[in-house]
Amino acid sequence: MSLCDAVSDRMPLVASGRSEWTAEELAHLASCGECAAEWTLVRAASQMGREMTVDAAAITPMVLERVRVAKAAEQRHRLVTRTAVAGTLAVAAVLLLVMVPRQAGPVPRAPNVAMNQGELQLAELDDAAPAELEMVLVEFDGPVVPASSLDGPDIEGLDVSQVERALRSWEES
Amino acid sequence: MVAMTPSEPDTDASLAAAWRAGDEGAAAEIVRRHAGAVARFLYSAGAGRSDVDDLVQETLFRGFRRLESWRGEASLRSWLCSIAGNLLKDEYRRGKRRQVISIEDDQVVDRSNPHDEAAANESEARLRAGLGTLPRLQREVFLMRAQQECDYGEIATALGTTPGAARVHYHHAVKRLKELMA
Repeated sequence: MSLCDAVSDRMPLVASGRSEWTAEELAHLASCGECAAEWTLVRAASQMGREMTVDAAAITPMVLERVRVAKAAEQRHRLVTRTAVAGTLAVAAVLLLVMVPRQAGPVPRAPNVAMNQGELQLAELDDAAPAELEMVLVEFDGPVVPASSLDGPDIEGLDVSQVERALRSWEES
Repeated sequence: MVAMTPSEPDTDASLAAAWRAGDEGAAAEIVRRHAGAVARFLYSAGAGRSDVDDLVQETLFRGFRRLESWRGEASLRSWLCSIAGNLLKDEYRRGKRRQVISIEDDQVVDRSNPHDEAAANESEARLRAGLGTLPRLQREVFLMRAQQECDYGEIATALGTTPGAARVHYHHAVKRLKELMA
């Protein structure tokens, strides 16, 4: 640390009167214009507003009263907030209880469909006559949705314009 | 409640703990110790003389309300000065007190010794005017250092910067003030 820095660091302490310059520091201040100018500033800052007085005895009760009032208001605000939150939660809970339909009994179970070795047992077909079973089988064998395919036999007889119309109609559908 | 014994030199930390525990005597001691320094800081930082009392009260009010957040890393005085600085900034921004940061030579008090005191008054007025032109951080660092005797570590903690940066702000402030006062 240079002597300038050392002197600078001690300036506030000396300016407040709690310390004194050493002979070496005084000699430095006399020879270094920068430090002398800084010392003038620090001394002026140290003295600035010295005449200002604050009546601590008068200020204290006013400050503490304001703090008390502010804290009481803060507590009231917290209480109001908590009450509002608790009320909202209670209302929400009641609404949930009222609006959600209650189950009268146990949930009905799905009929027990047994799968055995790849066979599907359909109880409603047990009493069906052979003719009815035949009709069911025919229904199963038929296509689920009537479909047409481009390679069907009926498309081969169409000319170009008919094919184009058919294609357009498919695209539009 | 923590009992205060007048014979013991209480630290600011013990006073703050006593206040938190409900001892109003500790609060009174904190005010007695630091209100004057806060007033000087506010005045030097540009507060109008007539506003200083109100601003000191507001600073202490904010300080006591937030005393739980003071952990003793910075000195209580530098912490209060940083609150005072924020308060001045708020007041200036709100424009409620136009005299804040308006430096008037006639606000300087007359002292009894004619020659030396006149020079001191002039020097003080020029310094105050110069401080008014500095960026806020430079002004506050300079005052905390030169007037409140805080070290750079304390200043850095109070103002949320580093000791090195605080030292740089101080030197920038000194350089600028030298130019203004030359």
